[in-house]
Amino acid sequence: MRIILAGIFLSVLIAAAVGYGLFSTQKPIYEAFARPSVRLGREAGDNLVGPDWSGLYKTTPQQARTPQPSSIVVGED
Amino acid sequence: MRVTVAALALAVTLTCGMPAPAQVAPASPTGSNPIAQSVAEDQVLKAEGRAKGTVRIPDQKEAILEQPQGRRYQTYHEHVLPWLGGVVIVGVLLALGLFYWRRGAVELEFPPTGIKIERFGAGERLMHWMTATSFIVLAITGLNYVFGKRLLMPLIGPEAFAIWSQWAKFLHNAFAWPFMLGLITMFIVWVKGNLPDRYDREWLRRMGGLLSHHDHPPALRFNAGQKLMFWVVVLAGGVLIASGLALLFPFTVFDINGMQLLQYVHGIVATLLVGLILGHIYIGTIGIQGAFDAMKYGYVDLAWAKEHHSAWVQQLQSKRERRPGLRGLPPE
Repeated sequence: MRIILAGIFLSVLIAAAVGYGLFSTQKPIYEAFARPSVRLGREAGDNLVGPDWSGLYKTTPQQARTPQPSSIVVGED
Repeated sequence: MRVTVAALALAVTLTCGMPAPAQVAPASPTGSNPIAQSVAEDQVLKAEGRAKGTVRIPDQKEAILEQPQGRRYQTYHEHVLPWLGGVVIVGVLLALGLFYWRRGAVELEFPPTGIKIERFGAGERLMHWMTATSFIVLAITGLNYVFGKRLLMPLIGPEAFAIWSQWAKFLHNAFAWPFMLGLITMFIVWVKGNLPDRYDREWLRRMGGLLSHHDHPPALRFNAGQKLMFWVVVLAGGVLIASGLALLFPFTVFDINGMQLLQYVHGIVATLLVGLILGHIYIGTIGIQGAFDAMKYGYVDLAWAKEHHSAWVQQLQSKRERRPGLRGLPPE
């Protein structure tokens, strides 16, 4: 039984040690490629529309009156 | 009357001849021709396999505008892999349950002698349990990637599932390392004992005696079934290590197409290996009486060793004759 527990402990120990080293060298993509001109805050949720943005697209009354294009042309200059 | 018929015919002709409003292509305000552009897009995709532009941000991967292989990968991830995993895991569990129901555990034919012989040393058992722990963590966190959204998220909610999945990803990446170390060490330590020998053919022909209650084909330290298991684990584990290392350091060697290809290989091989290890766990615990003692205590009863590995016992006894006093060897 002691060997089983030792195996579990050794596995956790190696995972913790190597994992710590790995995570300290690798960064999430939003950190690795962040630029000060784009990133407004430190959190991934901070963006140009603010941290309270729900993710849903809302139109203002003025936008609602303006006719929207019926299709998007890919590759248009 | 003729005037009425003629008017009706004219009306029908005009109605049928006129194109439906939906069929009219909307006039582009810029004068561009989207249909012609889509043909060019097809040509680009056929020629290069993707539509790529240029970007001035550091992440150059963002320059890929269209990557049709991604749709195939999505089909694999959302349909093929969950089905494969479900069939393999449920199928193996059902097969093992059916086998246990029909055959029951392989019990000792003769009573234990009380004489214990060493089957696995402390180092071997430590290596085995370290690898086993890592594999269980890797399997649970890996299967979360396949089934978590469908099975776990409805139970614990999306917020808790998101936190768990983030940690599962960290655990998967971290426990890959003790698994790699354990697999490489196991290969080095056990490769000699798992090379083919003269007993293997006979053992396989008699299906290891699993289908009969009194059949015990001879085997050395590892029988042919254990050897098959060893080589499949080594080969599949090698594929998992190679693909896993490339996935651990994304986009260092492979582009997005290569990363998705690695996901195919890693996911399918890992799923099949999980099914195989379920069989290994069954045989090592409830499937064969006394088998678990070998990996728990390192020692097995002489009666067990003679039934399952009779050639190995003979080999040990002849070794004892040559070198008396060797540890863990059975008496004659």
